[in-house]
Amino acid sequence: MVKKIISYIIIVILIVLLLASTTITILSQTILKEKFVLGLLEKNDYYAQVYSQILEAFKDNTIQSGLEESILDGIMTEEQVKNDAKSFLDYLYNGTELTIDTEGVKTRLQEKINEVIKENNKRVNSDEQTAIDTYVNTIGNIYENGITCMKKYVSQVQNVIAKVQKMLQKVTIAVYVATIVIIFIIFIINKREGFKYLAISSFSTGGLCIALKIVEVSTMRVQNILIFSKAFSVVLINAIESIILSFVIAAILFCVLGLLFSILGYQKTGKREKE
Amino acid sequence: MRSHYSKKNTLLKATIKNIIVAFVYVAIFVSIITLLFSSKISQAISLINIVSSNTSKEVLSEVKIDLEHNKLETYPGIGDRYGTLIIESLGVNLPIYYGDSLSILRNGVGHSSFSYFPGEGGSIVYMAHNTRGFLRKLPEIQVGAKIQINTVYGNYTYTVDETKIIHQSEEDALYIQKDKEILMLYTCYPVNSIGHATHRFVTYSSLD
Repeated sequence: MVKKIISYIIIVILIVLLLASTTITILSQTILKEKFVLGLLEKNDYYAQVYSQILEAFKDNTIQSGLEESILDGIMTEEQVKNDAKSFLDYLYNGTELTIDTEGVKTRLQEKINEVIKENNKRVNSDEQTAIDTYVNTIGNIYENGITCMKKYVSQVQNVIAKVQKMLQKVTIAVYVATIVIIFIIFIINKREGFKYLAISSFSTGGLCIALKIVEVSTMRVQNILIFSKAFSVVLINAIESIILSFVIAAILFCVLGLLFSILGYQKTGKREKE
Repeated sequence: MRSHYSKKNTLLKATIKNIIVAFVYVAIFVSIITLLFSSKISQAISLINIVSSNTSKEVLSEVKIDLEHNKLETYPGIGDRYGTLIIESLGVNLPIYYGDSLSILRNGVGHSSFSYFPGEGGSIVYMAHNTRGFLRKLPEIQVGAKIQINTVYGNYTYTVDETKIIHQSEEDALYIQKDKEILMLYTCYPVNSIGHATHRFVTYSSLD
């Protein structure tokens, strides 16, 4: 009786460890991996979308400035947006120096404004100069926010990602080692039914993995998420769907493992009965 | 043959038994997680659903005013066009949208969502750009001029009582009153400035 209770407790621990190792593996291969995120950006044509969004925001602000929209020509390119977005991702995942060409955008815009003033022989008083400076700074902020989505929280997010990556390395090893140890313990406690317990643990873990998909389908409107910008939201939706799909695949693998362990367990029992 | 069949049968029974036991474990896990973390899970799901855009759109023809209580029964969504602003003396005829984001203002007159709607008896705040085709000529408006607001639920005429030039930081100048229907219409000032204008030209009009 005591042996059975201990076995049940060990099954629970094994389920928790299997779920933890699955979650850690999925997260470290998806959202916590720069290459995965870069792939999502390419797949969803992110850079072109961000370029359009930033340009539209530029135009929204220019209409009230007394300047023609042509003032925006050439102050920003899609290639520049791509490079700055990649630099931003590199900063987030690897802590490299953050270089976004905001000053370049502002300088080019200021030069164009100066040309317009010169062409029109206009004299700019101090109030007007303040108004121009405010406009140029606003354009600069729009560009930076367009690239980073969350300028205010950038350094905090980078800190969190760095901490999680560090912690994950240690936790991953601990979880894998603990899983192997638990499996050994199962066979030490009850050699006869070791495979049966492994089968139950595998089926249970598979069931819990699929539960996430069920929760997503029944309660969350993931497809309609809209946060920061349309381009960012599309990438986020794709990332969430990739993670959930990974859990579904994990569920299938665990069920197959469960079947395999059931067969192995049955064969072992069959052999013993023969003996 | 019989023995082979019974072996398969036994294996199937064993596997099904394992699956049933696994199901019980899953049920126990889900119950414990729900018991311990249900409020946090609900908050997380609500947060995701809050940032999910609602795909259903209100039909503007459903926007109606309850004349007894001077209140709209249903409201337009942000970005919905629900009326037209006409100032005959200035040749102004612009669409009115609910909301005042820069993208809305590119298309016409924006309506501050902190203010009331025409007909509700409270203060209304409208704004538009000072460019050609918008409210470039607003500073030329005279006291006594008529501003016509035609909405999907009714038409309203206002008479200009006063005009003012205010600094953009003077929020008190656009004071919202719930029992006085004043239409405050403003644009950036001066109208021919370059860059971000720091002042606003405001007209104050009362309902006829």
